[in-house]
Amino acid sequence: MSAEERFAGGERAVNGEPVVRVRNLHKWFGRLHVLRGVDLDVAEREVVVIIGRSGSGKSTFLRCINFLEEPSAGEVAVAGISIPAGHRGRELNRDLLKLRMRTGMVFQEFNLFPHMTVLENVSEGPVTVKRIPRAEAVRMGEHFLAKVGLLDKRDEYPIRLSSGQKQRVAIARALCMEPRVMLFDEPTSALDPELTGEVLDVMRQLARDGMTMLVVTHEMGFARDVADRVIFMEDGIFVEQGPPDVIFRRPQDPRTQRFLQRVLD
Amino acid sequence: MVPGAVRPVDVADAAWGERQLLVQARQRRVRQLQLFAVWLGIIVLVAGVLVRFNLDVGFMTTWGWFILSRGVPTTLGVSLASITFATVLALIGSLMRISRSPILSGIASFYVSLFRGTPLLVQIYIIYIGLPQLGIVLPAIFAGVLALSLNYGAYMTEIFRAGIQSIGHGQREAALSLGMTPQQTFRRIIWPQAVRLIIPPIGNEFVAMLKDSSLVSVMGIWELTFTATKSGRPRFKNMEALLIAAAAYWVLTALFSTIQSLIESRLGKAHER
Amino acid sequence: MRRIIRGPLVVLAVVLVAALAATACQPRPAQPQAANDLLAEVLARGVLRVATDPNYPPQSYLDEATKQWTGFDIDVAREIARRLGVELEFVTPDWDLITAGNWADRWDLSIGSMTITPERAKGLHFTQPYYTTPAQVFVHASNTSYRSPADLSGKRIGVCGGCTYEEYLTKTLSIPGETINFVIDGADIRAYPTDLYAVEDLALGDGVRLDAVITALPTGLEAIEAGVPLKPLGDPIYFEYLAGAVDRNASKNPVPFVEKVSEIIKAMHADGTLKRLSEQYYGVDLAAAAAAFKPPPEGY
Ligand SMILES: Nc1ncnc2c1ncn2[C@@H]1O[C@H](COP(=O)(O)OP(=O)(O)OP(=O)(O)O)[C@@H](O)[C@H]1O
Ligand SMILES: [Mg+2]
Repeated sequence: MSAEERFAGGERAVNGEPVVRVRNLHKWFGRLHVLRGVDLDVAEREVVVIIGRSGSGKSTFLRCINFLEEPSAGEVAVAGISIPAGHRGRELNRDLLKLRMRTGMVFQEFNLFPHMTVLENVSEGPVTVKRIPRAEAVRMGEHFLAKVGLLDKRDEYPIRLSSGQKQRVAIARALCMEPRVMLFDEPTSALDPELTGEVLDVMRQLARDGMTMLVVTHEMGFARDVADRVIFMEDGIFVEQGPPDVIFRRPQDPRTQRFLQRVLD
Repeated sequence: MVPGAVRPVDVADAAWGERQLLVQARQRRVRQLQLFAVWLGIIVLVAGVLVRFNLDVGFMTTWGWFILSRGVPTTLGVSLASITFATVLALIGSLMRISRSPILSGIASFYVSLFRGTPLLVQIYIIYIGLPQLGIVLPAIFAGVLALSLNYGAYMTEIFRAGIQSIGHGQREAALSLGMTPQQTFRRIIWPQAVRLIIPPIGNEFVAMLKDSSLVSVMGIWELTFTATKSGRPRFKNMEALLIAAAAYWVLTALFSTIQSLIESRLGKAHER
Repeated sequence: MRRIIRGPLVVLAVVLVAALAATACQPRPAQPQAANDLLAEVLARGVLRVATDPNYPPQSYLDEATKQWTGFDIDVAREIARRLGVELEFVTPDWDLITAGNWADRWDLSIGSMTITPERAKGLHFTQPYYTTPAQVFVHASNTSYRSPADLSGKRIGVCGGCTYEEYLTKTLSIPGETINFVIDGADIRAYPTDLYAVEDLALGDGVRLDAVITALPTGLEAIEAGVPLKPLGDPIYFEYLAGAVDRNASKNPVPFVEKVSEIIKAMHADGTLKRLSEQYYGVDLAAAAAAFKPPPEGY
C-alpha cells in the first residue's frame, strides 16, 4: 500500500459496510441522561458533521465511539469491530484497543505530548502501539507532517508552535495511525480566529482525499462546503439529518430552525 | 507622528532595543555581584563570630581529616542508597495509591500515614530493635538504610502521586485514543512528564536526607555526625568537631543542589519557548 | 488516571511482598553447627564482639595520634579476648541500646564501665566487676557557696538520663553491697543524653544552666585536666561496681560465657593486671574493691 492510499483511508469497504455503526446508544452521567438512543451509520469516505447547542451531547457521543466515555447501553462498531456497552472481558478489551487504533481523534485542546518533539508526537503511535520500526515510523511521520504543511517544524517542541500549528500536528498524529475514521471534536474552537483557516484547510484536503470523517463543529461554512451529511443534535438525540443544502435551507424541525436562525445571523 | 520621521525613529528604535538588552545584561551581572558580596559579607561576619568562640585550631587540624574521611563516605553512601530505595518505594507506593484496587490503595495510604506520622528516630529504633523480635536481624547499616528508605519513601509517595495526578486528563485521553494500553500510556506519556515535576522535590528530599542520615548514628554507624561527636566530645571540643561536620554537610548539600539544577535545566528543554 | 494502572501494579505488589519475604528468610550469618551456647559460639567463631561507647576518656575513646581505640575498657576487653584466645571486634551502638538488652546477637559482650543495677540485671547478666567508680558531685570552679553535696538540695543538677546518678537523685538507686546515703533532697534534675553534655553546660558558668553535675570521678577529673572549669564537691557520694554485661536473651545460652568471662576477670584481679591498668589510666587503684565483690546468691 502506498502512503497515498493509506492517507485515503486504507482498504475499501467490502460490500459497502459502514465504517462506523452505532446502535441505540445511551449514556447517563449519574441521573443525567445525556445520550438517549442514538443510531448512526457512517459510510466509507463520508463526511458527517454534527451541530447542536452546547450541552446537547455532541462531545459525549464522539467520545463514546472510541470509548473514552463508557456507553451505558447500546453498541458501537468501527471498521467491523463491534463492542457492546457494559462490562468487558479480556477478549473485548483487546477489541477495544483495535477499535481505537482504527479511530483517530482530534481534540479541542490539541493534547499534544509536550515532552516530545513534533516528529516524536506523530510517530509515537506507530512505534508504541503498532510496533513499527522507528525508521519506518519516522518516514510515515514525515509524510503526514508534510501533508499538514509542518515538516519544517519536525524537531520543535509543541510549546513553540502556534495553536493552529499544534492542531495540525494533532491531526497528523492521528493520521499516522492510519485510522479508518477520524473524529474531530470542535477542532477549531480553541484557536485564534485568524488561525482557524489553516486547520479547516487541512480538514478539507483530508475530505477530498477520501477520509471518512465525523466532525463536531460550530463552523457552519465548513459544514455547508464539506459535509455529505449534517446532523442536528439536541438533548441527546439526533433531531434531524440530511445533506447540508436541505438542513441549512429547508430545515423541517422547529428546533433545527430555531438553532440555525440563531447561529446563522 | 510627523511623516518622514518614520524611518529615523524606526532605526533609533532598533538601536534602543539593542541598548536595552545590554543594559539588562549588565543589570543581571550587577545583581550577581551584589548577591556574591552579600554572601561574602555574611561569611566574614560568621567567621568573625567563630574566631571569638576561641576555637581550638589544633584540634580541628588533628581531627578534621579523620572526621571527614570516615564520616563523609558513610553519610553519602547511606543517603544515596536510601534515596534510591525511597524512589523505588515512592514509585510503587504512588501507583498503588492511585490504583482502582481498594486493597492496593489502602495498603499504600496506610504506609504513607504510618511513616509520615511517626518520627524517623522512632522508626530507626523500631527497625533496629523491633525486627529482631521477628527473627530478622539486620546489620546496623541495613537497618539505617531501611528506615530512611521507608520514611522518605512515604513522603515521596505523596510527591510522586501529586506529580502523576497533575498531568492533565487530555494527555491520557490522547494516548488512549491512539490505541495505547493503560500501561503504555503511563510509561510513555504520563510518567515522563511527571518526572520533570518530581525531580526538584526529590532533590530537596535528598538534601534533607543527607542531614537526617545523622540519626542512624544511634546504631553505631560511623557517619559524619557520629565521627564528629565521638572525636569532639571526649576532648570537650564538641563545637570544633560539629563545625567541621556542619561545613561538610553544607558543602555536600550545595554540591547536590548544583547537580539538581543541572538535571532540571536538561529536563526543562521541552518547555522553553 | 485511575484505570491506567492495574496489571503492572499487581506485579509490583507481588514483587514487593516477595522482596520482604526474601529479606525475612535471609539466612542468618553462618554459624558453626556445634555451637549450642554462647561461649562455644564465640570460640568457634574466633572473634569476640564487644560493644563500647567511645565517648569517655579515659575508659574508651579514639587515640589522638592513631585514631584507634584506646582506654581502660578497651584494654580490659583486649585482655579478655586474649585470654579467651580469640580476635576482638568493637561495635559502637548507642549506650541506651546496650543497657536495654535484647541485642539480637549483634554483639557478645559489653565492656563499657557499666554499673551493676538490679534494673539492668533484668535484661543483662553481669560478670564479676572489673573496677569501681566513685560517683562524684562537681560544681563550677568559681563557686564558693556550696560546702558539701547536701547543700545542693533543690538545685539544678545535670546527670545522664537513665543512669545511676539520676536514680541517686530520685532516691531509687540500690547497689548490692552498698548502703547509700541520699543527702540531696528535691533536686531539680536535668537529664542529658550523656553526662559530658551536662559537664559542658556546667562549664558555661556557675548557675548559668546548671548548679552541679554528678558524674564519675575519673570523668570529672579528666575534664578538669582538659581545662574545663570544674571542681569536685566533697567526697564521692557512693561507689558503683562496673562489670561486663551479656544479653540474657541471647539466642545461645549465655551462662557458660558469663562464667568464663567472670573467671578471666577474677584472674586479672588476682595477677594484678586490673590494678596495673587502673593505675595506668586513672592514677589510682580502682580495682581492689571490685575483686572483693560478692554477687547476690541468686547471681547476676
Ligand atoms: N464527565 C461528565 N460527568 C458529568 N456530566 C457530564 C460529563 N461530561 C459531560 N457531562 C454533561 O453532559 C452533557 C453533554 O455534554 P457534552 O460535552 O457532550 O456537550 P456538547 O454538546 O459537547 O457541548 P459543547 O458544545 O459545549 O462542547 C452536559 O450537560 C454536560 O454537563
Ligand atoms: Mg463538546
